[in-house]
Amino acid sequence: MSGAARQVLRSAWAKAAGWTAAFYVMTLPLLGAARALWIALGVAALQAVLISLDHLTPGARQRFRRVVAGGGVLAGRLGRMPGWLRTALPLVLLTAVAASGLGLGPYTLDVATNAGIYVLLALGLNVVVGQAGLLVLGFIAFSAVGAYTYGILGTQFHLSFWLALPLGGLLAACFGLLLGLPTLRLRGDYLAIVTLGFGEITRITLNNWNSLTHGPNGILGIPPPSLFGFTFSQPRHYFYLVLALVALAAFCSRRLERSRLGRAWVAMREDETAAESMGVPTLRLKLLAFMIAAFWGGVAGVVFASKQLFISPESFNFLESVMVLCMVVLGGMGSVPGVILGAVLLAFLPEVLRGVAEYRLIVFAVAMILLMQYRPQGLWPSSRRFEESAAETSP
Amino acid sequence: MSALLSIAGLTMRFEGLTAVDRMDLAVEEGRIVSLIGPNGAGKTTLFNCVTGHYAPTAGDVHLSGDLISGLQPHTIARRGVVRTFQNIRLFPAMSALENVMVGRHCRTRAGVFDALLGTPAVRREEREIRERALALLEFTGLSAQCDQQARNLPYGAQRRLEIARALAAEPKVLCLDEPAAGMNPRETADLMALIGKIRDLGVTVFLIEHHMNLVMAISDRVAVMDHGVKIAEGTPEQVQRDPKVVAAYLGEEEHRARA
Repeated sequence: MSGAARQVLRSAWAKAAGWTAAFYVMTLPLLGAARALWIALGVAALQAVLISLDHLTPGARQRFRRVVAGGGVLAGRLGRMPGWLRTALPLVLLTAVAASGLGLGPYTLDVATNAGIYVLLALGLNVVVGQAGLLVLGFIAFSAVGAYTYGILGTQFHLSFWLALPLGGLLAACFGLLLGLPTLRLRGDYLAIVTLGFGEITRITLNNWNSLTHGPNGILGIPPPSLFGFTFSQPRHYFYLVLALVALAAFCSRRLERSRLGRAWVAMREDETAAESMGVPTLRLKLLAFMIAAFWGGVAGVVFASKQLFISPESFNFLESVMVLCMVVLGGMGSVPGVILGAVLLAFLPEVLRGVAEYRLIVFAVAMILLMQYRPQGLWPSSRRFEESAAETSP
Repeated sequence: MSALLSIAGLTMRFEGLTAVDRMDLAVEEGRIVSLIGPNGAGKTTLFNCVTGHYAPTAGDVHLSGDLISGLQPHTIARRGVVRTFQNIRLFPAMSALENVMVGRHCRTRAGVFDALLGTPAVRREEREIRERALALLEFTGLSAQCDQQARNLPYGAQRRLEIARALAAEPKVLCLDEPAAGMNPRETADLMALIGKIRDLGVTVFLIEHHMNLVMAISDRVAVMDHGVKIAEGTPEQVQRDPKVVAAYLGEEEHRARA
């Protein structure tokens, strides 16, 4: 072994030891000495595996990457499938999910409905983060706007759910416009910080505007949706409502992605100055992405309020925004199927991990770190993003 | 004779530095007008003012008599002044075809609801975008590379793709910022032919270039800048003979020594 290689190895092991110690210290007050030790040992073992992988021959490493990235290769192939199949596949999937709704129990259906609401949120956020390439951190605030629109108008003015659905979305889009007009000139990190602030301001306003929102007590007795005298009461009803909305949102996202506007968004994401010089009105297109994203956020909020029958500012905290962002990143920014996959996985994960309840967040964190290490482009990336990251990782 | 693009008293100051100082220039329709000058003379700054990337400190730019200076770059592109960049700025992960299709953005109209509904009019427009883009790829000799990612194209092809993308926006004036930079003689010759073809289409070409053979061979008119000031203007022959130009290029000292 050459001296240089030995040095690299030494520094990698030093880094690993550092991480292990950090995990131990961080989990110590939470889990106690014995359990924290186990966690730290797990982290150490994991890193040992990762480091040894780094010392594989380039060929072996590439094969390994290819296995891990298998889904991406598959996605690349799916991107090239014939047109009729591309239309048929989502329809078949939709039918399958709809059919499974008949066989599932109320508990699973309830979890699936919550997952569906997250999918709506993630599809919305994907328009602005994935397609237009703008980092937005306070996204859940738009959902709060939708939820409170229905919460207030539904309880005080008996506004029909079916009217509130588009109204909540439109109102959220207006908030998107109001927030976007002064802030969209900012780039990157600054925009993220401003949107983060907007999310917090919205939550704090809802918490303190007692006369309108009942503050932290929230709004009780929100009417469930009803249609021609039929009132939604079972998880199954909501399941189909959410499924229909998800299908609509996915369809709209796809259509936009393949339009002149979708193309301009990609161009803007890749080189804003060049796009602007080619006659793409970047500010207007960013606003548009913002408003569309906010619209779906608002719609998801209305559905959420109508399902919970109760809303309070607590449901719209910063962690929810982070969760939705994780779904988009995990699934693959800019990829509609990827984002759906990411949202479903992350929404179901807490249920799957119920057995290891107290380690849930740690398992979650480790899974995220691993994923970003080995598949930074997401689980099911859009073919373009996949090529982007493939070009970056190959020497 | 009325100029298509006229620059009058254009000044651009950054803090204490005057990059462009009271520049006047008229670009006549259907011509190839070149702007030359040593590095740092302010040529690209002038381009940035003309295409809206900078709002000039003073002076103005008119296109067919309409004031365009101070407008947003996308508005200026829409009015008909489109540029390429000195350091290539393609959309690297998009295919060559998609790059050119983006250029059609300002000449097409489909909005959100059209896209969502997928009306026949939208589909027709999308088809038209594709056809025009393919035609431009053929015009620039890039048909074979149409599905390749822009970043994987050879250097010369990337330069030509940038020109194809700019042409897609149907410019009245095409501003080329050092299109021959880094090209080998063969690629430069191809580029000269291409610029000639563009002029024959009726597009006015406003060119910044260092490559003297190219400039002198194809330009109808040449302006020379140094230290932000126009020091000479005329036909290629006139400019080549101008002692101030020789001085700017060879340096004051040598010139004085020779004189």
